[in-house]
Amino acid sequence: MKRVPQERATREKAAQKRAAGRRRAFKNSLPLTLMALPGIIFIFVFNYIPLYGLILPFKDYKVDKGFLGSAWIGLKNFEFLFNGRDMLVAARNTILYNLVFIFVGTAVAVIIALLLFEVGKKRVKLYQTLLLLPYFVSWVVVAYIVKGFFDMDHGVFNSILSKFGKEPIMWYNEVKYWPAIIIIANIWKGMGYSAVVYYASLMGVDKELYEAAETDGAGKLRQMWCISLPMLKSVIVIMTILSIGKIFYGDFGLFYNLPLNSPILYPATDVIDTYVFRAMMVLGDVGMSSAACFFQSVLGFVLVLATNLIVRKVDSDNALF
Amino acid sequence: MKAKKIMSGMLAVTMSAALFSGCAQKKTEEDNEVVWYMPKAIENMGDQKLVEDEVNKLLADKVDVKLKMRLIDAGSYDEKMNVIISSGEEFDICFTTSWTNSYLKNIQRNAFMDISAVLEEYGKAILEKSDARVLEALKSDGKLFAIPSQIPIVVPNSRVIKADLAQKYNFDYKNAQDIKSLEPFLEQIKTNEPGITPILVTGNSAELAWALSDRYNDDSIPGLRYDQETDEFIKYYDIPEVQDYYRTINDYYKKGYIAKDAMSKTDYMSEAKSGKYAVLNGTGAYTEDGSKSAATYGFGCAETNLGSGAITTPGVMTAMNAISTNCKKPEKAIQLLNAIWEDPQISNLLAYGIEGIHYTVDTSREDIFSVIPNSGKEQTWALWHNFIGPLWDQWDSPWNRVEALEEMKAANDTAETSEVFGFIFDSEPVKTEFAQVSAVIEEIKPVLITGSMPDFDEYMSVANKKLTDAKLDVLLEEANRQLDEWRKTK
Repeated sequence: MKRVPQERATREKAAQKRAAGRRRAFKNSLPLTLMALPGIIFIFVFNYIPLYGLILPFKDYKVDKGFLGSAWIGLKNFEFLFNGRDMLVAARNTILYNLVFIFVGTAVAVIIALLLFEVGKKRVKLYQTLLLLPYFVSWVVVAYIVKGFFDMDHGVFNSILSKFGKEPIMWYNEVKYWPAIIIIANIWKGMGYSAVVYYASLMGVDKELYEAAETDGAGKLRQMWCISLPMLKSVIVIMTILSIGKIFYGDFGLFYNLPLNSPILYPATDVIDTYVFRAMMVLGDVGMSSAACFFQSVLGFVLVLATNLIVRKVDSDNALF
Repeated sequence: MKAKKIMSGMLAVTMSAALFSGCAQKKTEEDNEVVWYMPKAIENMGDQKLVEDEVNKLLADKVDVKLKMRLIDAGSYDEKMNVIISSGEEFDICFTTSWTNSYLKNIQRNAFMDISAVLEEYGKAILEKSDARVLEALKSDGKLFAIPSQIPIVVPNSRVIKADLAQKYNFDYKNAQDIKSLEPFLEQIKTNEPGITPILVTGNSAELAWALSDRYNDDSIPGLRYDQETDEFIKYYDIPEVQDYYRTINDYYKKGYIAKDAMSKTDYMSEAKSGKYAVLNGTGAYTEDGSKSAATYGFGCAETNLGSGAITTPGVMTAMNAISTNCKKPEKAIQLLNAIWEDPQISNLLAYGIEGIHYTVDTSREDIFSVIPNSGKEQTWALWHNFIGPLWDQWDSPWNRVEALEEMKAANDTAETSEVFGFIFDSEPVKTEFAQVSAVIEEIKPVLITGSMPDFDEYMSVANKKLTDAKLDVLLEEANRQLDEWRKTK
């Protein structure tokens, strides 16, 4: 009985202490919080507020009735996604391309980052800029650069072929060349960006590790294998988990522009996004198009959770959450 | 606690800021101001305020309405209107057609207001000057969702040949109705004119003009056509004439009469203007002398008239104005349009701009009032008369001569009407199939139009398989069911 007030006193003390701690923590993190604020607001406005749109795929949207007033129609809007073979082809293409982009893209970017790390400080800026440049070029422009090479009448490749007396190739009419063209173009365009991310995390590695390795007689390759790569592991895992979340999104700019939207190439170039665009051109149904996006993002979300779960099981330090 | 309060305070501020920026309606609009969305006729549109002020001066004497145009680049009009309408923005009038800001799409989602009653009350001049057949055809269940402009409701279908080439090879183009009869000429061009591609078609263009029998008309449903003889909808790609046509085009492609990369070309007009093609599509003139095409393409054109078909429902939907379902003052909107339809002074001011600034009066035409609009860089204002509405009130100008207008009117009056004129397909019950069939058509059309397939029969069988998979049959059945229903109401 006597212990009660005492307990209360200690509890209060502890609470006070905690509150003071929290205040201090808040004070200390205030500048950082403020710095993050524009980003937080941006994400809130553009990613959280529009979440109410998630009801649209389940509605028969009518302008006069509005978002809330339109009738609920269950899964009817999703039907067009699951009937018909074209959508299957598009879904297959989307997933396969993204898997290749993730694996090959990551490998190329890591290799470039490792190489950049070995290049002297002076040159690295130049290489970085050159590698990053394609990332900022729009796909429309890239499409015309590619056309410069593959144009059937005046393209570089066909000119070379005809110079050697060979038959020109109908690049834009032949499906078989396009998986390679698309993969190469996408990796060329994106590698600089990812490489810079990996390079930046390599910069954070303690230099002493390399010095120590060197005194122990480890060569450059050995250092890459035993220090750089393990240090990059967590970034690689995070980047991969994040890209898996987007595995159902085909980059519309890439898949629409690069093959110049040539229908003959659809078997190799059609992705969910381009298919939905085509299907909705005439009908323009808001509910159906948002059903497609809903499908893409929900599946992506589930995949992120699943991948993260696996990562956590195997190596809990590198899991995203 | 304080920290929490600050945080929640900040959150509240950002949220409300976001809400304001996202959803705030423009409350500054005056009560009598009518907002009208319209695609620009030219890229270099200046002087909007100037023209609007002049129009509003004229309007002030008649009605208590002020005009506020919102002009959008023609190229992005469709996309922008789609966003404006589906987000439920409040506006009054918008331009709507079968080819941009789709009328059918919009009535499907209840985006437009039924104006039959308001029009009866405030739109006397509009009703008087409109084609009664067209008004009647656009009505469904007694409801009217748009005001159709005065337009040529049957557009002449024509093909043109670069005049110098037609002359050089002495080609009898007037009698070359069938595309097969073009072959000798194409052959000559191919062998003798190295810089010239015999036929111009692009992946997104129309077919090279040809004359499909009049019995097949109404192309409002993807993949289907109405057959007047059997009085029902049938599958377009099963029509023997159609197959035969595409087979010939494929043959021409293989023979090199069509550019190898025709399918990936998208800008028909700039290709046409390059002058590097021998046979092109006509631009829809009433006189068969090629003058309109020549003016458009910039070189002499020899024109082959291929007839003009019957009046169809999609054919009268090429220029209309609708009132938004979110419009708060439909009577003001109709009053505005009525004033424009009533007074040629206002409609011509809106279309041509202001005298001395945007056009000059042409004194060489003595008997009629005629104007010469500025052109090229000098042109800073233009709206199309038929986008606004009253085309027949257009002042004579190089855009349209009075004679041409008379001819259009006469063609309208004498044109035959399709048996299904007035039938509007409701895609709602079959929208899954409609979307899937549309996707397949978007895919096969560019290939068929340019003939870019290695083997015609093989391609056709794949295409037909795709259409079947997309349930074209369901669409066909529904179309004929609705057609039966519609006939009963007539």
